[in-house]
Amino acid sequence: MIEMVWDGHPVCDVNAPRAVGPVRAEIRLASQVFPPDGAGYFTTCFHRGTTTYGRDWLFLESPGTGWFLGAVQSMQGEHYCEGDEHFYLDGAVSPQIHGTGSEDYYLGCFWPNLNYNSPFANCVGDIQEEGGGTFEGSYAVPSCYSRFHLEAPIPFFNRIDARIQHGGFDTISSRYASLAFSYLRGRPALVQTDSIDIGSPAGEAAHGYKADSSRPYGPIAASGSAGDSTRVSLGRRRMSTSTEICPAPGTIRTTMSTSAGSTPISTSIRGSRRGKIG
Amino acid sequence: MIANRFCILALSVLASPASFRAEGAPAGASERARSITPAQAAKIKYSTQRFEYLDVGETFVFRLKDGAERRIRLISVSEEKDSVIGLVRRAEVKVEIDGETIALTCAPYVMPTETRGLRIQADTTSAWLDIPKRVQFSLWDATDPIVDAKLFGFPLAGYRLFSHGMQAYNEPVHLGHRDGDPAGQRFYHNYGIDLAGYEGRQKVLSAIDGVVAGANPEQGDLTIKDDRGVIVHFGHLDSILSGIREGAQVKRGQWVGMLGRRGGSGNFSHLHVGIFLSDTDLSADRAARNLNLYPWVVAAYRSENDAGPFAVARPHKAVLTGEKVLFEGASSMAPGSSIESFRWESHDGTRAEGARAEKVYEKPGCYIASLWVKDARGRVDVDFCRVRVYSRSKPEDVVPTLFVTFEPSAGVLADRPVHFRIWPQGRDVSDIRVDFGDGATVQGYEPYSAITHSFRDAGIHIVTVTGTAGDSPVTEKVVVHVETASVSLDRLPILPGLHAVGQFSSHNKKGLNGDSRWRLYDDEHGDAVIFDVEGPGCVRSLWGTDIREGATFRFHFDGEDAPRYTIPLLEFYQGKHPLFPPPLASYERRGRWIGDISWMPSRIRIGPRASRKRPRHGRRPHRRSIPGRLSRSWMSSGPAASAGSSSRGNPPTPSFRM
Repeated sequence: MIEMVWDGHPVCDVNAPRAVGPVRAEIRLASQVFPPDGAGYFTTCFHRGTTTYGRDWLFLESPGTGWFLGAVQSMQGEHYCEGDEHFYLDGAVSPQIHGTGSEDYYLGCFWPNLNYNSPFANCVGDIQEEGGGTFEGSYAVPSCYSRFHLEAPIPFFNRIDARIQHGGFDTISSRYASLAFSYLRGRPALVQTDSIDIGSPAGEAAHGYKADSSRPYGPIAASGSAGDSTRVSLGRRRMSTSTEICPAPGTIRTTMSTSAGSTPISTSIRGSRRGKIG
Repeated sequence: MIANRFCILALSVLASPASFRAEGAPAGASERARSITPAQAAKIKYSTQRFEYLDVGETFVFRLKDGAERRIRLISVSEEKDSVIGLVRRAEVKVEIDGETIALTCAPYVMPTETRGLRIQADTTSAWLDIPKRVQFSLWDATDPIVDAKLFGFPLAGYRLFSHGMQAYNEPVHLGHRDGDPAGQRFYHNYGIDLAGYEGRQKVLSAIDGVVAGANPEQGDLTIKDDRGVIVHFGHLDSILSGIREGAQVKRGQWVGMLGRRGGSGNFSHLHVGIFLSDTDLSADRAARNLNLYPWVVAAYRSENDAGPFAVARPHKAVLTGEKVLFEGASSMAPGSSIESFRWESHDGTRAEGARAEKVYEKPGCYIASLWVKDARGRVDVDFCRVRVYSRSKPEDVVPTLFVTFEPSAGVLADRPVHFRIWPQGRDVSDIRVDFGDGATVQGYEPYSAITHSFRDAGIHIVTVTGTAGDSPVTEKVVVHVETASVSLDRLPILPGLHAVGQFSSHNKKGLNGDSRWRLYDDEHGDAVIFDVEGPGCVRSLWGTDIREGATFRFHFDGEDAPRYTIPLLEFYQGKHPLFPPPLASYERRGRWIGDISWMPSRIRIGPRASRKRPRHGRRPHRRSIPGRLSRSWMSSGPAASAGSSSRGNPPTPSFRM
C-alpha cells in the first residue's frame, strides 16, 4: 500500500505558475501480502498537452483489471466547464459513468469555484480571484481540481477508458494536464468469447435468440448506458433492459421493458463460448 | 488468587482510608432503605425520568407534558429465584394504568414500556434492593428521550453493544472469578453497569462533560463530576491518559483511558460505569443503586450507531440438571423496525422458533444457547445466553466459564486483524479450542495469550471457544459483525470481485448545459423517479446541487409500496438525519455565484427493487451484483465499488452557466 500524506498542497500541480512548497511527503511502508493473481499495482497515467477537437481528454486507458481511483486535473485556456466525464468500462460502446460537467465531476458545480477541500474532492484556490477578478480571466489561470473515488472506486474487469470532455462538446482548445490513479493488473479478468448480431437471422439462430413480441421502436433519441443495464428515455416512455449474466453454459434471459410492457429476450450460450473470468 | 471480588475504591478525593468500603454488597445484606428523591432526580440533567415507589394497592398520578394525567396503580408483584444460589432473577409487576392492566417485566436487560404517552419501567423490587416500598418505577413522558444522548454518551469507542459479556442492572454477577457460583460471589450488580472488553486495547470515552474529580491509575478509577455535582465513575481502567488528572476539564466523548481489569475487577476486563449523586455519596462510597443505567447505555449507543436489530438472549442462567430452563428473547430490539422471527439454537443442535424456548440439560457444564432474530427489513442478529448447569444431586462448588474478549468489536473490516484474548474463570479449563466459524481454528489455545484473526468475508461470524473442566464441557461464543469498508485504502490493491457499477445522471443527452429537471420517469404517485434498479446492491453516494426547500427523498427497497425512508433533501445533505450524519454528509457553497453542493457517500443497500425519490437532485451511484454471486454480495457487499452520476436543479441565474 502507498498512502500519501500531504499538508494542504496538491499532490501534483503540473501547471504551477509559481513555485509551490514546501511540500511535505510522508511515505509509510507496510508489509502486507496480497495474492499474486488477486492484486493490482498502483498505477498512474500522466497526460499533458493541448486538447484535440472532437476527442475527449484522456485520463486513463488500459486493458486489464482493477480499480479506477480518480484524477487530479488542471485546465487553462478557453472555457472548460461542462465537460462531462465519460468512463467506458470493459469495452462498452457508451459510457457507464456519464457526468454533467467537469466542475460537477470535481463536486464543485457552478463555476467559477471557490477554494474547497473535502475528503474526496478539492479545488485549489479561488479561481476568479486568481484570475484577476474577472469572469474571462478565470479561464486564463490554471485551475487545479482533484477527485478521488475512494468511497466508491470504479471496478473494471477487461478494460478501462476514462475520459472527460473539454467544454460541453470537445470544441475548445486549451492546455490540459491530468494525473489519473488506479490499481491495475494488466491481464483482463473478463474475456469476451462470443457476440450476437441482432437482426441477422443466422446470428440469432446460432444463439437461439428469441425476443417475444418484439417490434421496432423507431429511432432512439438518446444514448443510454451500456453494460448489463441500459435505460434510455423515449419522451415520457421508459424502456429498460436488464440482463442476467450467465457464468456457465445455459440460457441468458433479458427483459426489455417500456412503460407499455415488457419483452422477454432469451439466448443460449454454448460451453465452448462461456464467459471467462480469471 | 482473587479472594475478594469486591472493588475497593481508592479515589484521590477520599479523605481517609477509613472511608474506603466495598463496591458490591452481598445479596441480602442489610442496608438502609434507598431511594432517589425528587430533589436528587432534579439534579440529573441527563434524563427527565422520575422515580416513584409504590406498595401493592397504591396509586400514583403522573402528569404528562401536555397536561394529561396517568393513574398508575400497583396490582401485584411476584418474583422468581434460581434454584442454585437462590437469587432473584426476574419479577412480574402488574400495574393498572388508567384502568388498563399491564404486566411489566422487571429483570436485567429489559427496556422501558411505552403506553398511553407514558414510558414506564419497573426498575427493581424490594426483593432486590432495600427500597422504601415494594416496587421502584421510572417514569418519563414518552416524548422525552430515555437519556439525552447529547449530554450522556456511550463510553466505549469502536465497540458493538452486546458484543461481549455484560452485567446489567440487578443481574447476579457472573463474569468474574467464581461469580455466581455456590462457592463464589453472590450479589446483584445494581451499582452501575459492566461492559466487558479487551484489556488495554479498548478505548474509553468520557460519558459526560465535566471535571475530573479523581483519577487513580493504580486502581483504574476515574470520576468525572458535572456542573450539578453528579459524578460518573469509571472503574478498572487499564490506563488513564496523562492529561486526565484531578481538576482537568473533559468533554463528552473525549478519550480518557483504556479499558482494563485493575482493582477488584473479578479478573475480567471490563468498564464499570457507575453514578454517584453527590460528593458526599462518593466519599461514603454510596453509589446510586436505584439508578438503572441499562436503558441509558442502550439509548446512548443507539443514538450514535445506525445499528440493529439487537438480539438479546441475556441474562445468563444458573440451573440444576434436569431443570427446565426458560429462554426469553423478548428483550431483543429492532430500532425503526420490528422483530419478525426468533430462533433459539442449543448446543446439541435442537432448535425452537419463537421468542421463548425451553430446554433441559442433563449434564453439568457451561453451555451456550444462541438466539437469532430477524427484523422486518431482513436484518439479522444473534446473541448468546450462557447457561451454567450444576448437578442436582450435589451441585458443584464452581462451574468454570471462558471469558472472551476481542477488539475491535464494531467496524470490523474484512481482511483486517481482530485481536482476541481468552481465559477461564473459576478454575482451570483444559484443551481450549477456538473456532472462528470460517474454517480457521486454534487448537490448544494458551489462556491469556493474544491471537489475531482476519475474517475474509463480510457478514456475521460466530466465534466458538470450547474446553473441558473435568468431565464437563465449557463453551463460550461471541459474534463478530464483519463489514466491507467504505474507504479501505489498504484493500485497494485487491482486485475487484465480479460486480457491476452504474449510475443515473441528469447529463444532457445533447451535451448542453440544461441538465436540470431530469428524472427517469414519473411513477404512479407523480413522484419523479431518479433511481430504479433491480437486484441486490448498494447505493454508494448521492450528489446534487441547488437543492430547494420542500424537496423530499423517498427511498423504497425490495418492492415496498411505502417508502422506508422519507427525508427532506436539505435535512439529508445537511447531516441532520441520524442515519446519515456529518462529516460524510456535505452541504456547502463551492461555486462563486450560486448553488450549494451537496454530497453524501452512503451505504444504502438496495434489494431486488428500486428506490424512488423526489427530484432536483443528483449523484446516485449504485452497485449491482452479478447473478451467481447475488446472495454473497447482498449479505457481505464485497469490496466497495460504484461511481456516480449527477443532475442539478434549475439554476436561478443560468447566464452564469457556461
